[in-house]
Amino acid sequence: MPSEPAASLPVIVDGPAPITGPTRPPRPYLPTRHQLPLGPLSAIERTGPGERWLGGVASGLAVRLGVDPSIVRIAFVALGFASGVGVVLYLLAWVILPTHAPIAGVGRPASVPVLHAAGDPIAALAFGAVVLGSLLLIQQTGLPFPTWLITTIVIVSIGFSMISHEGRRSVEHALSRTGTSPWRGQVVRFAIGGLFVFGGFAGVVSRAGRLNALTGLFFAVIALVTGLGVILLPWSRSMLRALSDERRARVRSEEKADIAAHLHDSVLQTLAIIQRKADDPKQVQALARRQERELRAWLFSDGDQSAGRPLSIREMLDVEAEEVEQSYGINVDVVLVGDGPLDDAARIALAATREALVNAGKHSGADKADVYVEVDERELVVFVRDRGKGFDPAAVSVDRRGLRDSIIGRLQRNGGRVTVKSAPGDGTEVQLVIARSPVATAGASFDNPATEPTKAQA
Amino acid sequence: MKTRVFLVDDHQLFRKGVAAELADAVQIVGDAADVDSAVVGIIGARPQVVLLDVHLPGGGGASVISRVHEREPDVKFLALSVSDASEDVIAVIRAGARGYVTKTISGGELAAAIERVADGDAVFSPRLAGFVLDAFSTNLAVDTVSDPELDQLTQREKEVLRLIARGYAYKEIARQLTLSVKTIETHVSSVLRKLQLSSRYELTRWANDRRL
Repeated sequence: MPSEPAASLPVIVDGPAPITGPTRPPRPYLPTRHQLPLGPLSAIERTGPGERWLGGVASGLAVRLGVDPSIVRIAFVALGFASGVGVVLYLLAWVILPTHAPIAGVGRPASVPVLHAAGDPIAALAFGAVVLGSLLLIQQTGLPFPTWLITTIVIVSIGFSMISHEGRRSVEHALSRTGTSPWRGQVVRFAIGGLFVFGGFAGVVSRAGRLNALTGLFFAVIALVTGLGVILLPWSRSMLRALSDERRARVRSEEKADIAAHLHDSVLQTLAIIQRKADDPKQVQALARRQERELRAWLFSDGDQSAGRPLSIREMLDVEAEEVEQSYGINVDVVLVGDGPLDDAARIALAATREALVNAGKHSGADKADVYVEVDERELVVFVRDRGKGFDPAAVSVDRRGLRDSIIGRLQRNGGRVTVKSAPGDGTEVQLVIARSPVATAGASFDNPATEPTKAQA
Repeated sequence: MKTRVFLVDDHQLFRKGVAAELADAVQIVGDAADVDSAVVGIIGARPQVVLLDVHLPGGGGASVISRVHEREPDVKFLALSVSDASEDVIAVIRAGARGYVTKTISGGELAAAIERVADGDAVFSPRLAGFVLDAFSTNLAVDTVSDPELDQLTQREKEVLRLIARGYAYKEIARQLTLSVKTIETHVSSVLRKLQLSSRYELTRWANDRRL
């Protein structure tokens, strides 16, 4: 580990102090992937194309261990001389370890590099050569290692290597349905790989045939089953992985919808106000600062522990009303009947309420909005009403996300419903209804895995 | 003839502001900043309507109402407050105020509310409607001495209160429920009567509990 210069204390630059946490001391040099802390074995991943020589085992291991890949490679070769242990280990690792897939973005990297595709047969041949060399060396040590076995293993290795790549790629293609699918090339290579593998095992079988009938049959069956397994293993493995990837992507896209709704409610709104108040630097600064605080709180909290103790619906409503009053210059009168802890349903309904108030503040032209919230054990009903200029709900353009996504979409995703009553010149009333989810009805809210245990009423 | 109005509020600036805003609509006959001077002033000036702050030094708005009503039962009170504390509001209404509006009310609306109270009607702001709905919907233990007639709101009354709470004006409520404005006023007055006459001591206790 390189020692850090003693002078690398955080330097506070003139200006507002950073709001979160201590500043990180500047690193003496950029951390590379060789410096990741040691993790569990399962955290080892083979490196992707571009960084690997063969299967990416050595470089992947190097990343985990924090050493130079060539050290690991030399170690493998050395172990290979030691009666083939290295080769076996390498092959095992190749099969077992997953390839490193960048997590950023939705789904897997969109493009499997062309270089990778072209390199497949070459990599397979190289792999076969390494196996051949190792085995020949082992033979030199005088072990009883018949040449036919060596040939078989080498052929099988090459075939397996090809299939292993092709299988993975074809599954990805089938699932992603993107990009051009070079099916013909794949089929050809898959077939060749399969031929190699079966050819190899056929060799074993034919050898075995010279033994007595029973042992021969036994060997033949074993060889056949193993051969099939070798062909199908990479295929099923990548199929499973692709499925779990796909589920991850779906969860991510749902999360993304929620994040988009939140960003629309907060950041985009603030930016819109800032544009309108561009001639008032003080207010712009205040707005920006508040938005920053909010965003931080949202990003760095788990969502419900931001205040340390559970907020009640009333408290949350008051906060929202005040925020909207300050930001949009509209008076908000809140009337609440009943109260309760701010559970998931309430959180969703209140976020949509806020959005409805913001709409009233931005578009209605009215100087006052009435919020009426009724809470009982079963449901939460919200009315947001203004006496502004109103609009024709049927004529709202598609790109206006506020009403469609942040109010209607948000409620519908969570089993609620929204009624918008408005006509030009006649004001607007938005009604939100959402079922509350006490323990008794938890089973019904399947779409909402984050249901937290109901808290004691504050 | 303009309605004669007396102002009671411990903030001088607020009294001045209200007086200025109402100058065209009503006749201000006096003002006071605490309970004792308010009682004396009201009895001396004999206004039709007293605009009364809920929070007052020396006993609160409720005690002004009860002390004035001992001598002058015809003076009508309209509570006006920034206070959102339901227990104060309910206490003032129970003491005999004919309505409650928040200080965010506009000058025109306030003038209209004063006229309505002077005519003997009740004035419910959305917030008061919310308080009342809350008070009557709370599952209080059944009281043996309670009067079921008084202790429950009819379905229609609840409906009207809900619409008030949603920010609807009487005229809009009438249109929504296809009733006459007069009928709406009757419903509202009967809610107020129930609130004031209900023997349920729980109502007061409910209000007190809200402090927690």
